[in-house]
Amino acid sequence: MRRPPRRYRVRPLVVTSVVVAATTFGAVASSGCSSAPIDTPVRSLQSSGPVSFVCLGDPDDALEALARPLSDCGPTVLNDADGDDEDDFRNPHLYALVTQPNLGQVAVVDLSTSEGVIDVNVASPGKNFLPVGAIPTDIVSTPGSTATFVASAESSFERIYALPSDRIRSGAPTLTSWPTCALPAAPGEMELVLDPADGTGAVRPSCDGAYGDPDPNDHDNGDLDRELLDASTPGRLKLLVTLPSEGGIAVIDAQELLDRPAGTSDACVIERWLPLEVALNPPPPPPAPQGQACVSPETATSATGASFDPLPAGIAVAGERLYVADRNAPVIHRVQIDDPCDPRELPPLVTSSAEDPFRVVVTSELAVSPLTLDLKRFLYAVDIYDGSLMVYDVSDEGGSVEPLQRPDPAANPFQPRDRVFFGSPPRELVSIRQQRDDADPVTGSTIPLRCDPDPNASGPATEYRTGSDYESGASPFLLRGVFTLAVLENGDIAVIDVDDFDAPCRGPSDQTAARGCEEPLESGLVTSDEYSCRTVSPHEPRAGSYLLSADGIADREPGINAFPLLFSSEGTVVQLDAEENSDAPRMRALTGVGSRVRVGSSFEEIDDAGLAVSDPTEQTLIMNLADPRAHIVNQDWSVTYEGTIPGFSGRFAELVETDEGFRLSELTSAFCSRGVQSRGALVDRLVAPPPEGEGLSEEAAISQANPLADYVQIFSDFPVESDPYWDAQDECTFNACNAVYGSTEAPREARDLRILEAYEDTLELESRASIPDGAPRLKCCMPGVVEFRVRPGRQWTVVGSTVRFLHRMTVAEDGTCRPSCDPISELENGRVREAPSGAAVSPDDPAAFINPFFQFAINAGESQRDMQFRFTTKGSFEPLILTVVTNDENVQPTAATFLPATRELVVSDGSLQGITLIDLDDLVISRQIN
Amino acid sequence: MSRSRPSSFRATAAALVAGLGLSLGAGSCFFGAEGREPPADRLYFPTGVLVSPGATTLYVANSDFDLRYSGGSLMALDLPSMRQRVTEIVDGLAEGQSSVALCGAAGPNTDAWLYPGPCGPHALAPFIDNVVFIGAFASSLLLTHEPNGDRARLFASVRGDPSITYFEVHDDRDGSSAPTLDCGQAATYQPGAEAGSELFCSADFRLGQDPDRNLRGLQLPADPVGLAANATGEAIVIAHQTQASASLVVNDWATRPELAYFVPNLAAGPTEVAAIPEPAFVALAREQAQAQGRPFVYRSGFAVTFRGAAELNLLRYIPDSGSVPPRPFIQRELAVGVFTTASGFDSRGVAIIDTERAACEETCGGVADALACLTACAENVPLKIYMANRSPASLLIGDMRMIVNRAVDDDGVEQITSATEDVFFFDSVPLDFGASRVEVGEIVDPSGELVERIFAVAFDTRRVFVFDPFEHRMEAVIRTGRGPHDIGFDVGVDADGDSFAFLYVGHFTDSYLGVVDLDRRRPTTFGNMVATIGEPEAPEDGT
Repeated sequence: MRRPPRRYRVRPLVVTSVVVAATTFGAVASSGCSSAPIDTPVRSLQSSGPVSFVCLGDPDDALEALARPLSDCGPTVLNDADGDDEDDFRNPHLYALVTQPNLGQVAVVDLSTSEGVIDVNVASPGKNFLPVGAIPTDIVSTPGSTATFVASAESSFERIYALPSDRIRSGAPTLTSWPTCALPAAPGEMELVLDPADGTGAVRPSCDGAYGDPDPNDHDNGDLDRELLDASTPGRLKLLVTLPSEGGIAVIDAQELLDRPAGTSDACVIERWLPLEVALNPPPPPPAPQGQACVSPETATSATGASFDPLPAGIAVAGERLYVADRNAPVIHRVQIDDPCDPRELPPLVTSSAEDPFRVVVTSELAVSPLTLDLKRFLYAVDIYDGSLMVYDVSDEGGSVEPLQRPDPAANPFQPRDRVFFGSPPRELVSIRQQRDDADPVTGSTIPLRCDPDPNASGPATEYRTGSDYESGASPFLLRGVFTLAVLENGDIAVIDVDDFDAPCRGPSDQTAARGCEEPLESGLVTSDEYSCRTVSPHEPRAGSYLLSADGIADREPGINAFPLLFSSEGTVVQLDAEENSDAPRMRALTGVGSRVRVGSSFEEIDDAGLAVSDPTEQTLIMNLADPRAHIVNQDWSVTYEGTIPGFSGRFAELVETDEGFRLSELTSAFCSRGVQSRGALVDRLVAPPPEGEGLSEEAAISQANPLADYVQIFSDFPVESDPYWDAQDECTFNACNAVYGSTEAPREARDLRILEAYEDTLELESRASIPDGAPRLKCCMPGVVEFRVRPGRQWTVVGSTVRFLHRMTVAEDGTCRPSCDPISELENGRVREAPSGAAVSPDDPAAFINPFFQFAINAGESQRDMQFRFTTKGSFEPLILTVVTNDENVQPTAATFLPATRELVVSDGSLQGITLIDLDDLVISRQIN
Repeated sequence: MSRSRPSSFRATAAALVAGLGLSLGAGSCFFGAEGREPPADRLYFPTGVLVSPGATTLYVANSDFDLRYSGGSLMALDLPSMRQRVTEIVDGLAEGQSSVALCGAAGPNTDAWLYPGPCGPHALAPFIDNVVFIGAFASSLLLTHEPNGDRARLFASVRGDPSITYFEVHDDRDGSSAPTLDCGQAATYQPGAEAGSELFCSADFRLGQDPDRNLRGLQLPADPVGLAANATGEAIVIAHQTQASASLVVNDWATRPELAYFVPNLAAGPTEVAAIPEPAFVALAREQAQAQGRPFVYRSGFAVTFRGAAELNLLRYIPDSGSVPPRPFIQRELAVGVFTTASGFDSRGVAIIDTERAACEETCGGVADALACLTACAENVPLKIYMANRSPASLLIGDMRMIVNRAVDDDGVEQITSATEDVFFFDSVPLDFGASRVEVGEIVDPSGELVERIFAVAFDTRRVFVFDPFEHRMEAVIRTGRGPHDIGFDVGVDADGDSFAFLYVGHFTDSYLGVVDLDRRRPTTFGNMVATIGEPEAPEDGT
């Protein structure tokens, strides 16, 4: 179940869009004869792609002095009143180099001034960019800003362009202004890695050269070795370039390319070529859960035996390891690159889906987290086809080659156990460690510490606790730790907790199992007193608010707007405190689960019998507080006696008479997938030995199952009385049909057909009522296709306005509908069997109803079809969502990069929004440049 | 009914050219109106471009968008002759010929901004094989072929009537050529002769106008735009842009096509339609089920896009063969949300490709259990669906998966009982403003092989994007003239066994055809316009 996330909209601070009044052809045309010109905003940047950054000083300086490490450029934005700040080079300027894939150009954006997009050719109208080959796919800059490399996938002219930094701010460069080399195929993504110096500090000029050999070339376009020496990281920079169609990675010496004369395009010197391999050796699948009366989920040994050609996609480097996503093969490649001149492929990570083990899972983008405080490292990968995230532990020790699974998947069946879903597929992933480098102003410490909730503790770690006014300290809005940002295709940015250093101080003061806490349970903690121990949960979406209900802070504890109300089948309220309703069914909370429930704006106490202390005549229930993320949305609920199972209205089925009764067929009804429970499924359970079944004989089981089995209610009218059909046959008449079967407004029981067996597209039926001898055949009365409803027998159906009818039915191997044994479905319940009148019910009672949201039981009364309890849940989980969508929803992120110098996330837009910079300290849009 | 065309209306119509704000009132009727007959020798706001499967004919629908004439026209152009001329140009360019020698009578290009390419415009007249006149505002073309026969029918959605106008045309799948274009017109086109009203299609060929011709007494809803046919050409589904509806024409090869039904209350702005290719196992499963006297159900499906809703609909064709008389209808089975962009609204072109599945199915030829093999192909190899969106301008990419239902029969044998498709979108690629048509075509790769590509047209920004679905990357961005609208592919293998691939771009704004080289063995011309067919003419009240 995917839900559209609510947006935590970040506040735009500065918007520096270039707005020019223009009269375009389209503007004139659409205005027809109107005399008033229409002002149309014209933006400099068009569809934008990957971005890199350089820090540059005064243009009059020589290149060695001009190029600075990014750390020399801070977040300061000059904004002189006289508007000439772009010429102020007292401090170096930070530049973003923004690829323009549809133009084959790179735009230069000055992030240190209000100038924004730089015009590199003032002699030509408009803002002019740096020309590179068509369809630039990636861009990387050297750490010391000496040069930038752009990969271009122009057909037949696949190239890498080297852009020396002294030529990118002016001078009307052309395609022949750059040193270039030709690739044998279209490039994909690219990384710059270091071929380190040997123990003596000597560098080798090429992979085949010896350490200490002189470099034969002059470095007229920039000396990268010198740049590295200045950074105290001696070595040689190598470009790792993926060539997707060739299925491998090329290693190219960056200095050799930079040293080439401008305008030449000889073949690139590929020093090493690493053909990626698809070595499928996944671990054996865990044994499938078994059951006597349920269907085991399918297991598969992934794609073993199949062969795949690699198609490298997104890449990520962490330490001495390169990870490569694969769009074609179900693996994530791992390459050891401590020596880039000797890259070695390691056994890959296996991409798989626990929910659909036969699916070939392929990936697009990757991000590797910085080390956590426990020295763990995690890799996040985008599953292309279902748009979800997988997480792998890629720590040096104790990692796993398969996606991590959530520890308690049954508590939240709306997320797959090995996936994180969002409202829109992730386009790009960025993993960050958010921590200020200078001494913390509160603790004075520069060493990251976990927040300590121990009431007896003291010292710096206690200073991170949530302030009593919730205005300081640990909070949903303070990112302190390791996080992954998933930039979604709809422009939202979801924040994933990897290692929130403040997590220990977020949660209940007094821990209980019902609140999702694990042994040993502790009490009296100094925490935010949020309701669940899973307020912060590793590798899950971060909460967008405090998870508690307190005046002026938040109202996020799950509850109900008001006590449930019981309505008769005619729609009138049935009050339990009225004497005439003493035989009415009633809803009560299960016992031993919790002592209170949030109702409206107050907490109501629940007694040991599961009734509201303030008024025992109220219908009530109790909420589940273990997993906040299970409360995916606030919604209206109906609990209806023999209520219709949703999903079948408006469908026209073929009804055929058979020897046993009837067969109803409808291609797209998906009876199993919508939760139909046949008599056959019930019998299977009843004859199964305890504890799953009741060990009954088949005859006894059928007897018990008959009244409980779902039934079809035919919901079509007969042909109208004047229809020639009635004259064309003499077997039945309109009046006779009406007398036996009634109308859709007043249907008789003869329209009810018990479901003996259910398949995904077909139901086998028998009449539920006894049809009098001589009565017209149903098929005679209903000669065409029929509309129908499906109702359970003598049970209540629980239907949410968003999640609809939860159930565990699946398709068994023989095609019948049977419940799944998969434990993740444990709480996917939508049927309530009645408990004896007046009895309190504990959670282990067969009459107890528990779903992911709440728990209750219904005491039997004079229940009638369509009698209904109604209530509305509140306090759903809202994730922390940033967004680049401001006024214009025409956005589609294409790339995202973390800019450490300013602690901003830079998001490129494939539409016209240019680049958006988001301040990750304050979670606001700091700049938007287009 | 409006039969006069005041100049103010013409001005407004011309103004709409820029944005293709093609919205007409439900009662609009522009057909055979008084006034000048449409020109038979020139393109005029071309909207539909379609290449016959034998690559002998290029059909072009002219829309008469500013209503200068009394209707639009449909042209059958001599494709081999155009190909020969274009091939001479690209070969000459590869050999380094001068533009004077290369361009001949067309001369060197003097306005590369208006119509990119090395040469001036080539005259259209020598390439015209046949012409008929139709109503104004033609939108799309569709060609269907008789199963196991040798007949072909061409359908045009015409908004001015409104009608679905059809033509009996030559089936050139065997490579034979004939310029047949029969829509009941009173006379035959004669090259060079003055064309008159006798070239207008007769009412019998304009479907949807006469309610007495169908069992339900229906007339075609206004604004027919996109249309598509199922594999047999029996069911044709048409989107009606302003009516939130889709209609069904049943194309009976034994008699004639007729409007049969329309489904109302769809989302706002149905725009384009694509038929879902039928998997090969369906025919076999149907055959086996019939032999065993048990049911098997598969219904032809159609994907419909919407301008006003972030969704794609799947419609199903129900022949209603159990009724007497059958009254076929279409039903909306599924509305698939678009969540892969910020808004997901304003969808335009849609294309579905089954190449990978078809390749899988070909491997089942000699397999003992062909049904199992073909079914496995259908279940394991999803179709790809591509849809152009304008808000934001993007190419949405999705999968169309086959769901096969089975049950174990009384003998304990598993039988296939039904099958249907499901769709979801999982990715998007940025395009440029004005994304409109999406078509599946082929290019010639560096080794000379024809390989499939997705082509997405951006009307406003004068670009055609070429997307490689196998490497998932944009391969080329073709710069066109103003207002690229529909595209057609002249692709095949010549007498020498050498592959060729050219793209024909109907330029709506300036009323000409541009030809693009799609052969990667020619690096300098691949992805570039190399020829202009027809004299470009700016809109009367445009720029």
